Amino acid sequence: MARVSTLVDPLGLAPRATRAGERALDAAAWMAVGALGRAVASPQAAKAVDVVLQSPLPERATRAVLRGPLVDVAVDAAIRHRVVERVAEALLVRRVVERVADRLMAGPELDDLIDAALVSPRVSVLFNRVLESDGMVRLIDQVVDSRLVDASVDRLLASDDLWVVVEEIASSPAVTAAVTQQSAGLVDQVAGEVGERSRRADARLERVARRILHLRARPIDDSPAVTDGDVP
Amino acid sequence: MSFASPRAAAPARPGERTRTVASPATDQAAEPLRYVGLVTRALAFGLDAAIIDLVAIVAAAVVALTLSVLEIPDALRTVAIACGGVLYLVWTVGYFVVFWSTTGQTPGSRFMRLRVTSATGETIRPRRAFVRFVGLTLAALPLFAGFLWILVDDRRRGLHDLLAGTIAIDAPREAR
Repeated sequence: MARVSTLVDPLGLAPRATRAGERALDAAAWMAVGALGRAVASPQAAKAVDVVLQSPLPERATRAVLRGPLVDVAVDAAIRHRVVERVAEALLVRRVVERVADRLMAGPELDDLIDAALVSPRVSVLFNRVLESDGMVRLIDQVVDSRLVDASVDRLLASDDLWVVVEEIASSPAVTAAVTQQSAGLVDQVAGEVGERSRRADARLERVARRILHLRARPIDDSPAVTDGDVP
Repeated sequence: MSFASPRAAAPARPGERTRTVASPATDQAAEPLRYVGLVTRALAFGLDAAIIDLVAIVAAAVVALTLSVLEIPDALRTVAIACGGVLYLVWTVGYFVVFWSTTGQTPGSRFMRLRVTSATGETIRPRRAFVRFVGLTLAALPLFAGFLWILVDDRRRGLHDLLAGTIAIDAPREAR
């Protein structure tokens, strides 16, 4: 018994015709994409886009879309089909977040962004407003009054690492030298002050004694030799 | 009336040591010497007396504590006390003589920024330092009247300075 395909297409032209049709569609698609690309890249298209963007049309269209049921439908669909969860899971599985973070940390963009933010006077004004706001004061008061601070201080004082750090700092040569220098400076300052006052007292007492004994004043007037200039 | 001694401005004796600490004599042309008066010197002496007595008290306490655990006859105890007195005297004399004849400054003088030198600004020798200490004692005996000479002498010298031929001058911090 002859097969049905042999009866319908005895020359076997159907597959060839299918392939030819597919090729024709591909060629048409390529041509359409090329034409579209050229059209988009043309200055006329740019002008057209500018005209459209400068017109109230995009705003009206956006407003219409937001007022219409499209957004609600899209959101409902996204929630119903767990789109957000799936996207988040895909991001986590493919370690997209880590890669983005690594890229950000390795690249100079983050540093530039932080530098620009720190230099910006607007950020400074913003920080000042935040710090001076009543909400920030209330927040700080709540944090200070809460048990969090007490517990943190208790834990800090109970930890051995703190005392190791304190001992390290206290025994460091720089700190020791600074304390020694400060103490020597204080002693010098006290000695200078006492010396200056005692020398004034010397002169005063001597004047009184010479006046009582009717002696002439000393030939050299001894003003205090130890002055503030001697004090470091 | 002047109490300035003619020998005060005389050159150093033939046997005078030429070593100086800060050479105030050579600086005299550039900057006049500033003689230190009674109050400053009294404060310096008070600091020195405090140091001497503090060390002596601590040493005596240690010795007394040590001796308290031993059985010592009374006669020996008296001898120990006499030895302690002699040691105290030696310590006091040595304190002043050594400091005056080396740096010219006792710790009290250093704090008050004054220096004891010969009349020509040189560091004094131990013998002269000892004479000065004897003079210091003599000046203190008549109710410290010997120190009142400082008030009327042109170079602010006391009896001990006149006996030893010394002066007490300013020693600014830079020159120490």
